[in-house]
Amino acid sequence: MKASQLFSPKEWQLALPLAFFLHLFYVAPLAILLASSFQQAPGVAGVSLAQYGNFFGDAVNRDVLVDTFILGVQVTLACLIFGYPVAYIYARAVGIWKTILTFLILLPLLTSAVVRTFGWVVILGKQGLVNSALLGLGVLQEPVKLLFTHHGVAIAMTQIQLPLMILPIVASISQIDSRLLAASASLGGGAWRTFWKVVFPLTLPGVISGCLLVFALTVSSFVTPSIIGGGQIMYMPTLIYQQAVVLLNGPFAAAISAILLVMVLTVVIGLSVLSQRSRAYIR
Amino acid sequence: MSRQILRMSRRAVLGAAVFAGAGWALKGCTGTTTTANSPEASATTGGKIIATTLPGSWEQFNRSTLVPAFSTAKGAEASLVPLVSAEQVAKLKASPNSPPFDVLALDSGVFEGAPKELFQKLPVDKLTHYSELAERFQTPDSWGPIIGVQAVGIAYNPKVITTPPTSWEDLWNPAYKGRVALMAMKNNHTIGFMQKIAQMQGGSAENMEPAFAALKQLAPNLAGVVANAGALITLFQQGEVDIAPHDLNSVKLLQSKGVDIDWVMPKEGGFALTPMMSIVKSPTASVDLAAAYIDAAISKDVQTQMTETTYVLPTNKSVPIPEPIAKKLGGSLEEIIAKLEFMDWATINANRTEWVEEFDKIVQA
Amino acid sequence: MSSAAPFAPQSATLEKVDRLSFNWVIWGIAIFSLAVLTLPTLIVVIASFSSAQTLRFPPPGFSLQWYLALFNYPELWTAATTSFQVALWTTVLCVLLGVAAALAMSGSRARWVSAMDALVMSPLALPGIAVGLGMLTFFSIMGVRLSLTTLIISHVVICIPYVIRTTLASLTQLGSALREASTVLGAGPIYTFFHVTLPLIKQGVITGSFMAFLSSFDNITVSLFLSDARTEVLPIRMWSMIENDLDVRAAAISGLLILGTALMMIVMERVSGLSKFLVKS
Repeated sequence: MKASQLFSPKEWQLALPLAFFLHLFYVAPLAILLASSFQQAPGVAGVSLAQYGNFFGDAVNRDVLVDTFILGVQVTLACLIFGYPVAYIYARAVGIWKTILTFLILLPLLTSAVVRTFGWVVILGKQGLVNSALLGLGVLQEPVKLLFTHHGVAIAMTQIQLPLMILPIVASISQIDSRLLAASASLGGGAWRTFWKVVFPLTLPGVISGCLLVFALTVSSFVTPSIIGGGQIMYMPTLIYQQAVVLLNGPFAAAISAILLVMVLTVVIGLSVLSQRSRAYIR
Repeated sequence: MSRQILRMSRRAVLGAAVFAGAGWALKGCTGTTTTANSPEASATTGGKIIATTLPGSWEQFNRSTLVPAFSTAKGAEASLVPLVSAEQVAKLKASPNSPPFDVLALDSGVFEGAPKELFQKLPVDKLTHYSELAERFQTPDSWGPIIGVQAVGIAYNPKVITTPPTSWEDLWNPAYKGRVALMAMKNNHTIGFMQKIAQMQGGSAENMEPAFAALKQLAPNLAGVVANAGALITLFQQGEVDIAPHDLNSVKLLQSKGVDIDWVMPKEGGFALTPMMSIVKSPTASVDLAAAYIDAAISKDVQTQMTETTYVLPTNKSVPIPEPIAKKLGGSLEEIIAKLEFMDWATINANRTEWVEEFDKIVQA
Repeated sequence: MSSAAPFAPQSATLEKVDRLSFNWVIWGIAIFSLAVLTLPTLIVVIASFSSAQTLRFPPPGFSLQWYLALFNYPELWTAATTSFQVALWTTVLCVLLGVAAALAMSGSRARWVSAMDALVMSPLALPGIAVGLGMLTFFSIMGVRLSLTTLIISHVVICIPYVIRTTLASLTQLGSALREASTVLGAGPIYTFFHVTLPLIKQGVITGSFMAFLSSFDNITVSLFLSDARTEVLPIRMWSMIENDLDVRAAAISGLLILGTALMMIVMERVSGLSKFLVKS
C-alpha cells in the first residue's frame, strides 16, 4: 500500500524530475548566454540592446534570417510530402519487407553527417550524378549549379531530415484502428477520400510532431549547410559559429542565438496549438 | 604488451556491443570504464600533459613522432586533442580557470586574435633548442615559437591545366570560367590570399578595398566558396574545380596519394601560414613539462621528420630541405623564407570582422 | 447524379481509377523517397571499398584495405566506445525522464503544459554551438570539471525532445479513456502504466529512443564543447579525419556502422521479431 501511496501523487509531479534537470542544466546556462547578449561589447558592463540593433540594422543579416526561415519551411514541406507515403507503405508492410524498410529509413542516420556531405558533392556537383543524368536524358543543355546554392542545401537537408519526419508518422499510422478504414471503405469512401478524411487527420499528431522536429532541426543545423552551402550561403547557425568561434564576438553570437530561438519557439507554439486542435478532432 | 591487450579488449567490447545490441551494451560500459581509467593508472611518474594538435596530417605526425620523442626525452606522457585553431581558443576561453589543455598548437593568425590573458610568455630559458631556430623566428618576449611554415601558392589540376599558372592573376583568366574555388574568409588561407591581391592591386595590409574589387571580378570564375580544405580537395578530385590557392604541404601529401594535383609559387611570391605552440596561463601540468614538449617540437630530429613526412617547412635552421621542396622553392630555408610573405596578424585581426562580412557580402551576391 | 449522397457507391471503373491513382501516387513518391534516402549513403559505402588513397567516386578499383586499416587505429576504437557509452546512457536517461514527463503532460490541459512543451523543444531550436557554449560557460562558472558526465548531461538536454515528442504523440492518440477505465476498475497507477499505457505507447517510446540514441551518436557541435580533453567521440574523430585529409577510413567507419546495424536488425528479427517489436499487432 505504501508503494501505491508513493506513486499515486498527482500526475503532474511526474514532470518534476525533467523540469528540474532542464532548469539546472539548460535554462541556467541559456540564461547566462542570453544575459551576455545584452552586453554592448565583450566584457563591457551594463545593459544594452546594441547587439540586436546591429543585427536588425544590417540588411544582410535580415536576409540570413529570412533565408533560414524559408529553408526551414521548404525542408519541412518537402519532408512531409516525400516522407508521408514512405510511412504509409511502411505501416502496411509485413515480414521481411518491414525490416528492410526500417533499415532504409534509418540509413541516413547511420552515416555521419561529415561523410554524408561527400556523397552530396558527388550527387549535386556539375559533374555529379544529377547533372550527368539530366544532361544524358537531354532535359538540360548545360549543367545547373546545385552545390553552394540554397536549393542544394534544401535538397540535402530534406534527405537528412526525412527519417525524423517518417518515424513519428509511422508511430501514428500504426495506431489507427483498422476497423475505421474498413468502415470507410464499406461506406464507399474510396481510396483518396478515406485517406484525406480518415487517415490523414488521425495521423495529425504524428505529422505535427514530425514537422516540429524537422523545422527546428533544419533551422538550427550547422554541419550540412556549412559544407554544402560553402561560404556563399549563410544561415543563422553558420553566422553564430562565425561570430562565436571565429570572430570571438560572444555577445553578438548570443543575440543571434536569441533571435533564432524566438523564431523557432514561435513556430513550435503555433504548431502546438494546432496539435491541441487535432487532439480535439480525434476525440 | 598490456597496451596490446587493452586494445584487444576495447575492440572486443565494441564488437560485442555493436553486434549483440542494447542488451550487451551495459556490459560494454562496465568493460570500458576500466579500460578508460587504466591509461591514467599506468601513467609514469614523469607526469602527463595535454596538448592540442591541428587535425589531419598534423595529428598523425604528432602522434607518431613528436609524442614519442617527448616521452623518451622526459619519461612523461602527452595526450593529444585534435581541434582546429578557432575551436581550441573557444574552448579555452570558455573555461580559463580550469584550462582543458596545457599546450596549444594552433595557427598564429588565430592566436594573435585570442585574448592574451589565456596564455603565458614562453620560458625561453627552459628550451634547449630555441637558439637553433632561424633568426626570423627568434623573437624576444615570445608567446611561443612557430613550429613550421606552410607555404601557400596556387594548386591546380595538371591533367586539365597543362600550362602551369605563373601568377595569382591567372585565377582571373577567362579560360577558367567556373573552375576556381576559394575557402571561406574565416580560413587564413583566404585572408592571406586577399592580402596578397590587395598588395598587387595597389592596396596594403590595411587597405583591402582593391582586393574586394578584384573579388567581384572573380565571380564568373568562382565555382564555389568552400567551408574547409577537405571540401576543397573533394571538389578537386571530383573534377568540379581545377585551380585554387592552397598550401604546398597539403598538395604534396595529396600528390603522394595519387591525386591529380600540383602546386606552383606565383611570380609575385606566396605567403606563409605559421602554426605555433603556446603554454596556457595556469596549466594543470608543470610549466617545465609543457616547455619540454614545445622544446621537442622544435628540435632538429622532430623537425626533420616533420619536413620529410608532412612537407611542412621547418623553423629549425639546421634541418636540411628535402629534394621535392627544394625543387619548388629553393634549397635553403633563408632563400625560401625570402619568397614568402608573413602576415601582419595584428592588423588583420583588428579588421577581421569587417573583412569577413565584406567578403561574405560579395560572394553571396 | 449530383444529388447523390457523399458516400453513395461509385461506379466500378471510377472506383478502380480512384484506387489505382492513389496507389500509384503513394508508391511512386515512396519509391522515389527511398531512393533519395539511400543514394548518398550508397555512394559513401561504394567509395569506402576504394583501392585509391583518397576518398573519391567512382573509385578506380576495389579493395578492403580501408576496412583492414581500421583495425590498426586504436584512437578510433576508443572514440567509438566512448560514443557508444555516451549514447546509451543518454538514451536511458532520456527515456526515464522523458516518458515520465510526457505522461504528466498528456494528462493535463493546464497552461504549464505549453510552457513545458516549449521548454523541452527549445534545445532542438538552438544551434548546438550556442547550447554548447552556454553549457560550457555554466560548468566553468560552477567549477565543474568536464568529464563523461557533463558530456552525457549535455546530450540528454539535446536528445530529450525526440523522446518527449514521439511519446507525447502516442499518448495523444491513445487518449485518456483507457487509462481512466483501468483506474476506475481499481488498478493502481503503476499497474495501469505497465499493463495498459506502456504496451500501447511502446512504439512511440522506441521510436524516440532510436532518434535520441542516433542523434547522440552523431552529435558534433555540442560534444565539441562539452567533452573533456581526454574524451573523444566518434563523430569528432571522423570530422577531423575528413576536414583536411579525405581519409577513406572515415567512409569505412560508416560502412562498418551500417553493417553492424544490419546484423543487429537481423539478429533482433530472429530473436524476437523486430517487426512485431516495432509495431504492435
